[in-house]
Amino acid sequence: MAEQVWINMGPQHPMTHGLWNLRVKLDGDTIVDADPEMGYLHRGVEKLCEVRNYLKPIVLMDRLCYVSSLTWAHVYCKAVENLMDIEPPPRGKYLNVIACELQRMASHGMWLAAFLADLGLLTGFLYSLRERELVLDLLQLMTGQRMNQNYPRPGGVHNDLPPGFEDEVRRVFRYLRRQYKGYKKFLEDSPTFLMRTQGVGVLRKEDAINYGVTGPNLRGSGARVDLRELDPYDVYDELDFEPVVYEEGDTYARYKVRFGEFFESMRIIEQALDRLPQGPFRIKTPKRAEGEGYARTEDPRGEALIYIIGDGSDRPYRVKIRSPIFVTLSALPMMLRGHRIADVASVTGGIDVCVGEIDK
Amino acid sequence: MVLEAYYPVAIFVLIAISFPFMTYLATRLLREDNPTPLKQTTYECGEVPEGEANVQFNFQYYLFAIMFIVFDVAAIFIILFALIYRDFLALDSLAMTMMAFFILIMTAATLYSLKKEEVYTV
Amino acid sequence: MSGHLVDLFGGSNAIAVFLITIINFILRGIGSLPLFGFLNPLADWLGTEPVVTSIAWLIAITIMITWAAALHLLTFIWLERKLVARLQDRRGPMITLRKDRYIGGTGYLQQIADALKLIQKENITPKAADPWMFHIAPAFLISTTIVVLVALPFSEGFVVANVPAGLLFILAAFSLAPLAILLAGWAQNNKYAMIGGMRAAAMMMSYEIPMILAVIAVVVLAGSLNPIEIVNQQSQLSILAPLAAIGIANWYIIPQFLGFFIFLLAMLAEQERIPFDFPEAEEEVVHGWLVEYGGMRFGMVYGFKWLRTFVAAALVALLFLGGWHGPVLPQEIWFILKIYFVFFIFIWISWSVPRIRIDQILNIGWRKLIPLGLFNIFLAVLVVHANAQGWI
Repeated sequence: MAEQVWINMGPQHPMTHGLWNLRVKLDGDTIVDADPEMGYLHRGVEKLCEVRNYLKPIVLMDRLCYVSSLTWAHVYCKAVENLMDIEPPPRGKYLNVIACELQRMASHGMWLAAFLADLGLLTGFLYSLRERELVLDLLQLMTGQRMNQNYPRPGGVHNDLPPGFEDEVRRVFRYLRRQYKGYKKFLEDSPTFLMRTQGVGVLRKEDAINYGVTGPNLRGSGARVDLRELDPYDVYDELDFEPVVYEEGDTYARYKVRFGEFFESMRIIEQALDRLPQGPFRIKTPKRAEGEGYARTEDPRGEALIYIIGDGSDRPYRVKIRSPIFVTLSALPMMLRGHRIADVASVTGGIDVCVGEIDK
Repeated sequence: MVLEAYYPVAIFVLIAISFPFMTYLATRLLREDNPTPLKQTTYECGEVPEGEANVQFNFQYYLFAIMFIVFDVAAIFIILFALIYRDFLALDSLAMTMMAFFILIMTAATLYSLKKEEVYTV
Repeated sequence: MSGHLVDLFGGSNAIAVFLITIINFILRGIGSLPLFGFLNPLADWLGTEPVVTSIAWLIAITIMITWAAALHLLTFIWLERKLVARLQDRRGPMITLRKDRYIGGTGYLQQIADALKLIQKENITPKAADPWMFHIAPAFLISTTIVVLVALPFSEGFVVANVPAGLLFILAAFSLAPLAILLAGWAQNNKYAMIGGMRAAAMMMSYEIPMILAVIAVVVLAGSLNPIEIVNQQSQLSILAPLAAIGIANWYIIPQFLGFFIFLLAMLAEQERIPFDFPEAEEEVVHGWLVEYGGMRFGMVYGFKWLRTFVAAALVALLFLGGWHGPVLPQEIWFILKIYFVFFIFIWISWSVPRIRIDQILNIGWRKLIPLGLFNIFLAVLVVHANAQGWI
């Protein structure tokens, strides 16, 4: 009888994209069991928020996920708005939507890069990072920053659009559409890519729902759950878009969902730019708040939820962050069992792990 | 004598074997050695490894290995055939027919053994 | 059809005779003095024919190793880095020695800088590892790779040993690498290395047989195992000569396109290039069997990967692309051009596809490549038979 061994894939492993440890029990080349271990990157963001006034945690939220900073700041601002019971002006809402969708594109671009690198395709990694650079340029044009934008505010956004932004967006999107169509062909016509992704890490719809998987991973399993459509925040109910849903539940379906969302995001941004109303982009907010407020948004990785309790002071009494990927990782052992060790990279790359938000 | 042609090969093999060891010696002069217990631990992504790695490994491709041995022997047989075919057997249709028959048997055997043992589901 | 520039053994012999003449002159000069008379028999012995031949072989071997391992190995590493950089929209290494700027050069010095760095690095042997096997395994890999050069011809004259079964020798020495990898993987007592070594062994079972079958088809056409003989067969117009007008008379890629394809895949696997680099898959088993090696042990193994690439490209050119045959230019130049062309194909393939899985390569190897390879042998037999019967 051959022995089964536990092997640590992480924290210092090229597959992990950050500091986390996936302990894998191997029988030969086959995975018998898996056990994700977290906590290498814990910074205590929730606790840190409690000693800052309501405006300052935005920078902390920016650093929550290093790939998708802006969406976390956005969901925090939404929660504070709900707590303070204020309504941002329409232009602020539209700008938030544009910024969040740009961030989603950048995040999915980074995901594609990391995913392809996990599969051993370093050329795809660099191509995807190259196109992501243009999206980051747009974000920089809009917010002044490339990584930690610090852009959303309770009651609107930090600054208005720069002149000429719209033309720049359309120019870049024309280029990106052409490029990404090429990449789609490049990947989906490649038998090697299909061999590595199809039928790997299958997550059935029921399991996905039971494990609390959200976002693109859930939509890749065939559930049409998109908070932008189900529980519209900001101005998503005024915009015309279609959640990307695929039935198969394997890595390939998750890849297709994210690839489709990239194009959907471009559509949303163009519509938002068309309908962008004039007027103020930010209103003044009170300093103190009492009661409860929560907001949930469709993060690039799933359902991001922030829950805040205010005790009447200028600081939150308690902040709770629900990290979508933390929940999704609980389904990882189930997805990995019975696969080979080579598929670990394909599966974890496919669910788009971001350790910053997992460990908070 | 035929083996005379292999005389430089023997010299070459000796040189090739000594080459890496000479490099080892040369690098020994140029580098410093300062082993510490921490450096000498086994690398497992920064964690302490659980148990030994030299365990009885479940080699799942064992059936492929057996078939590999069989095929290696068969390949040697075909090499002998190939070596003389062009100059001695090419005019003989029987040789070609026999070869075709042999190849057919080998193909069928491969496919049958793969199917029979279901090695690709292992 | 053009001649060859280099006559390796003749040149080496001339050098050896020249050196021995000088040494003998000195020895006899000293030997004429009293008390040093014992040097005269030594000078006589040096002048005998076997000694001269042996020294000529040594010189030939040195030239060959320098030519392949120093010149082309470095060029291959540089070229791969540069070409991949262009493929990936980067610039690649640009290090230069000029004082006024540190980048902007061709970057050819990068490999030398890397080697100098690796030479100075400490060699760490893990406590848990088996120290002897740990050190012998990479040496074994490097030795078997160098040994290939003895029978590898670069033209009719540029070959160390023209042995009758040269092709078999090359393939035998070339295929020993998985054993070294398995040894290294076991010796390190590291789980990643263990998996990497086992993967190397499993992978070998998938591509060795198709590779041998593709070679057998060529042997059927050429009727010889001598690489020089195989190449010279490809200059004759006996079997298929549709493209004789443009100089690629009878390259075996034309009757043997299937074999060329199989052999190219097998050679990609043999070098552990990206679609088949399971033993050292970075994202799966960190660096696989190389994980505990540091310093020059790692550096040599890593660098000699390109020597294996060089040999693989040379084999493809030798067996299927007509070796050194081509119009106008000398043989050596043609052969090097073809080697670099094949190398370019290798780079192009390996940087545009993701890595596949070990069970998938086994399935492809056994279910597709082996039946195809057998069919390919039959095709070769058919072509030779038809040719002998005068049908073509």
